[in-house]
Amino acid sequence: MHISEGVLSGPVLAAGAALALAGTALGLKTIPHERLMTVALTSAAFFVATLIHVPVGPAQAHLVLNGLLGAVLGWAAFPAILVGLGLQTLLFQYGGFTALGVNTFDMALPAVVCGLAARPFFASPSTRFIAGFCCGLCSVLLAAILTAAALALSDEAFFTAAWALAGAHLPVMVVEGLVTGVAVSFLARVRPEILALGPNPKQVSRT
Amino acid sequence: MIPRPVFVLSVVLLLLASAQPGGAHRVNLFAYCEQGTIVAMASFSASKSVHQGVIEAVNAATGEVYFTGTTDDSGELSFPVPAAAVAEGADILLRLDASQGHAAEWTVPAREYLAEMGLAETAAGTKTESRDAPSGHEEPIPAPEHDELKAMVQEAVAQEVAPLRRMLAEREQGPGPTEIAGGIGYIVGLFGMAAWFVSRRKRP
Repeated sequence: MHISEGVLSGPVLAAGAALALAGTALGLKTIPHERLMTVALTSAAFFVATLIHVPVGPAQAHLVLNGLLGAVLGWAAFPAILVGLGLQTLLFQYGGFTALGVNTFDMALPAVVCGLAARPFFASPSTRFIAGFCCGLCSVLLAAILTAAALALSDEAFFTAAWALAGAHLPVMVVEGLVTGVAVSFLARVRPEILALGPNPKQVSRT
Repeated sequence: MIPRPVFVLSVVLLLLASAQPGGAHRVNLFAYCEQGTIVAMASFSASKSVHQGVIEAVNAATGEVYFTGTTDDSGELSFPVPAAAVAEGADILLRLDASQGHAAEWTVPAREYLAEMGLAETAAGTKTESRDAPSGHEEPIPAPEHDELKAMVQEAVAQEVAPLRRMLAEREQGPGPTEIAGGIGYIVGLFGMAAWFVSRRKRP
């Protein structure tokens, strides 16, 4: 899903950069300064996540973790993903620098949308896991669709690219769903303040 | 004790992380000239080869397209050095499109393929003569009876070096612990600095 240098046309790159910048500015505004290190740690988790490989038949795909970032950070997923992707481009040469805006938007917007949509369901223990699972799965699916759209606007046929990307990431979607579901369940029980659900009732009653 | 969900999650992630590296993060292109044929090798990071990738060979300076081809199942594409390129003495730029947004480039410099084809001698000879006049440099002009020997040596060396070149192309490795640690350090550092600035601004 990391688009390389020289694949996308100028207007698409510019639009992607502008959208990513707007999202990042919005995201930065929403971070209360006590939460900055949470953002940093989730960004680091995203950065490392792409090194975790999911076997897909003869090939391999990698985890994206944008769903979890969206669930935990909301709009702050934009700066977190921007920083994570920027460093991946710089250090690992994954994706091109000019395509950074487009890549960020492709991964961060689904994260925000799915994360915010799933948040109301994190409060109840019965719906928590399913909500997390759907959040993880849909984030990767939407990211694949947005990437295909970016490629289509530049050159490749949209449906071919979309099917190829979605198909290649199907196992990743399932694994991401599971990972996000488990993570959300755990966090909601032990540290609900991270999911913006309010303070932990057990801790509150102890004091 | 570690809570059960954390334990399960960590085990799952460790298992996945210990799987063979081979993700399609970026595509690599490597090419060399072997006696008049250009051999291009395309692979995704760490050993997965690109089949059905489209490679275009163009003039590096003007962009004129010399040749277009598709890689085979092992990610290789071989084609003869385009006569037009030899005539113009141009560097050949190879562009690979491996679909899904993956692209890579590699340049085969003119002196490399000309040398492989044994044409460097003529080129060097002419260059030497033109250099003699302005700088007065003494350089030996190769005698005709050395040409055959030179060709044989070049052929032997090309044969020996070809497998080394393939090995070099295949040794592409993913990010190491240095890069990972560096990246995490940068992230924590950037947000730490941001936190510091924000806290300074809050103080009256």
